[in-house]
Amino acid sequence: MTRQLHLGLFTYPGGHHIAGWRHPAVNPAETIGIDYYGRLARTAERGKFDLLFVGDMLAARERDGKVIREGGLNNIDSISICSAISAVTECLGMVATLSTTYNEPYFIAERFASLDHISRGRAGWNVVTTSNDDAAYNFSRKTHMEKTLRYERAKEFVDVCTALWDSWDDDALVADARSGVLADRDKIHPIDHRGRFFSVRGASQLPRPPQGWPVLVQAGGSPAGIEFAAMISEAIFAAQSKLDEARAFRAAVQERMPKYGRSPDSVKVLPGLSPILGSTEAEARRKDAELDELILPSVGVWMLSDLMRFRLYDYALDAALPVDDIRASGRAFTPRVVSLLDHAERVGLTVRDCATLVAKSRSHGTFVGTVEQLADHMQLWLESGACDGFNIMPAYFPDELDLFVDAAVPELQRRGLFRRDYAGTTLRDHLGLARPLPRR
Amino acid sequence: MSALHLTVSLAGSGYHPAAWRVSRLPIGPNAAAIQFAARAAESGKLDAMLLGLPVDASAGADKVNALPLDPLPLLGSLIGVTRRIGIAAAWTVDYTEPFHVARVFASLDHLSYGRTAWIADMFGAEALAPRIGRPPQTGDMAEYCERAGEFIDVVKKLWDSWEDAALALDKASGTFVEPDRVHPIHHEGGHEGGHEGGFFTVRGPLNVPRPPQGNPLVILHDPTNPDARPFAAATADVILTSCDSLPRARERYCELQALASPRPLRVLANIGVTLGDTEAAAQRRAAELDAMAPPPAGLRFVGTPEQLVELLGLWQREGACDGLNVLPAVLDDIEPFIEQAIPLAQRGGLFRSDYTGASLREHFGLTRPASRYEGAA
Repeated sequence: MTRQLHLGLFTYPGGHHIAGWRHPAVNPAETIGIDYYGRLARTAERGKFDLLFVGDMLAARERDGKVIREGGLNNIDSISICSAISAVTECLGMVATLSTTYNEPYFIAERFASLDHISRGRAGWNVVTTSNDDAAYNFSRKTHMEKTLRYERAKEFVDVCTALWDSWDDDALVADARSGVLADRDKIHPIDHRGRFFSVRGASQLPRPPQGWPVLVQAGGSPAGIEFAAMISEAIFAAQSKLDEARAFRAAVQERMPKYGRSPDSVKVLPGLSPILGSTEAEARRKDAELDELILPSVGVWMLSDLMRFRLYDYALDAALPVDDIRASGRAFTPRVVSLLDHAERVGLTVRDCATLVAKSRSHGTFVGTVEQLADHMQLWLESGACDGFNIMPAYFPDELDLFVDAAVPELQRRGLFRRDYAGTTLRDHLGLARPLPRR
Repeated sequence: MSALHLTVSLAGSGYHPAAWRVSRLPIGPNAAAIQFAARAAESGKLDAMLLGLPVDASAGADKVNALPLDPLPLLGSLIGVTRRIGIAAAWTVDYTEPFHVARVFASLDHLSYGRTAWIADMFGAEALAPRIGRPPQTGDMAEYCERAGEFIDVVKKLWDSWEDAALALDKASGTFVEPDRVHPIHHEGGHEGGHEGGFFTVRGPLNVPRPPQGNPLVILHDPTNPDARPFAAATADVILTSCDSLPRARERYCELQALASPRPLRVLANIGVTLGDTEAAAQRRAAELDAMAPPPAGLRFVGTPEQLVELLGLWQREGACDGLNVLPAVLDDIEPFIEQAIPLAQRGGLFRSDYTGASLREHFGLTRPASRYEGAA
């Protein structure tokens, strides 16, 4: 059988386009309750998506000490959203984002084990180390932990969590009412972890999760992130918006996997993709332009400054992006920024152009066109080895998601590129990932 | 006479350690049994359901008799299967950060349109220490309460950090948020590993708009150590007491209300409940359970639904509490409790026949607080 796409739905209040909430079809007051998230989740399930994905931030988004005026940037907790939608869906997977820098592994292991039990095997954990320096000030720290150290901590953190998930044998739950044995103590193995960051003694209080481990997801594209992904990730939320970059990224992860004893096909790479669809290409372009007109330059420039870690507020909007000044600032750039700077230089983008580009998709991939053109695009990426699927980031909710599910999904199914129905019940089933054996 | 408040604690197969051996509901760490009970509790118009046991140092020492799901995802999963009833979940103040607690409960309160409460678990640090790998952060009771008080204060400040009017959502001007109505809290108590007159340093603001209830309710267990009682009464919206008789409960009720005054406080008395069609059947059931495992400590009712309603009425008339928190010995007993006892209580005018408000605060008759930063520069 031909390789098929895996699809995630990346939720966000209002939409992924920074001005999506201003679209006439969006009611921004209704983007925060269970009715909103439940509707998005059920729509994704109707479209046979693999999973719903929720990000995480541990500090308010600010510009010069004030929260951002222009954007729908309220950021509610991802585990809360995922657990709420678990009760209103049957098959859809759900990936919550949680930081290893500002949490304790024991609590997080139990939380994800619980989500996996509650959802009957549909949970995934997007492991992040938190890149936002401001988070430190909300957690009684004087400084944010340095990146290398954060990844060291993340590795040990995940190690402790998987050990706790493995602390019960799969058959430890007996529940024999007659003898009164709920669990066989001989099949529960307390861990005694002593590492650089954590000391954890004891067993989980819960049986091994239905999936063995919740699916481990990762999203960083830096060298440290790639190494970490090769070591632990089973799915990657990637940010490359160009086909050759995406292919190189996927290859970079896959070629590092054997040294960790992992097969390259045991990871699924899902770049973000924000599609704007029309019944004709002209209609799609008109929709795209209408949305872009809703972007206030101030928010675009802020997002660009934030991404580049370089203040662009004093530069003229219609002057060329000061690529040399930005490069000379000597910040540690993510691959996303390097790619954007190269592109801006090559094409000759202005500050406003770049700001719009970043604001409309948070610098992930965008696509404007018809359903057929989108399917061509997705097919090309899949068949070129640039991805295993996409994390779909609708510009605004719920209309653009409805359109994707009602028009694009059937086209992908018709081409044999996407499932017509779920074949299994767990997120691992959907993604074609093996259930991990206990590591003892 | 003020309205009676009723809540129910939902855990696994029930509160008796042998509950799983007699329950007819699904056994195991799944949400199915709890979701069933939640729907029942809502049909009985209860104020709230409570999730999460206090940390028990002895739990799991020699025998596994419960499979405790993390109360937070469990709370989340109940939002989607209920519409009106309040939902409270326990989260310890030990080894955790006020920013996380504030953010998660603000999120759950938004998702549920204002139905959540935080049961701030205290005094569990010793039991958690081996799993966290660090000794408890505080020494004596006074210092412990000081830290817990600061923790809860920071959580409430964060809930207040967005004024109600901060969310402008004005499409025409493109103003999603009024930045001047979102306030950093600049709480400066101390840093990790350092004690500077306090324990936490949190800049804020929260990255979630003000919760629908303003502040989700804060529920505390009545401390066993009387030295901690003034702290509890000064801090909580709801206190759960565990007294073994009506006179003691009344005494504790008066003490707590006096300590809290003039703050509004609701005091609920915990009561373990085993029901049967006849008193003899209920007694047989309790004896059967006790023969399998010793019952949990605390006040215990064994009898018919009619007798339970009599007890509820008596406790209310005698001023022993503002309401009761029912802990079903076996979760299955939620059914006779809701289907038989509650209608009797409703017919007698003892308990509400329907919800009148939308939020948990309204169920408890507690007003919504204004943000402390309202109008601040």
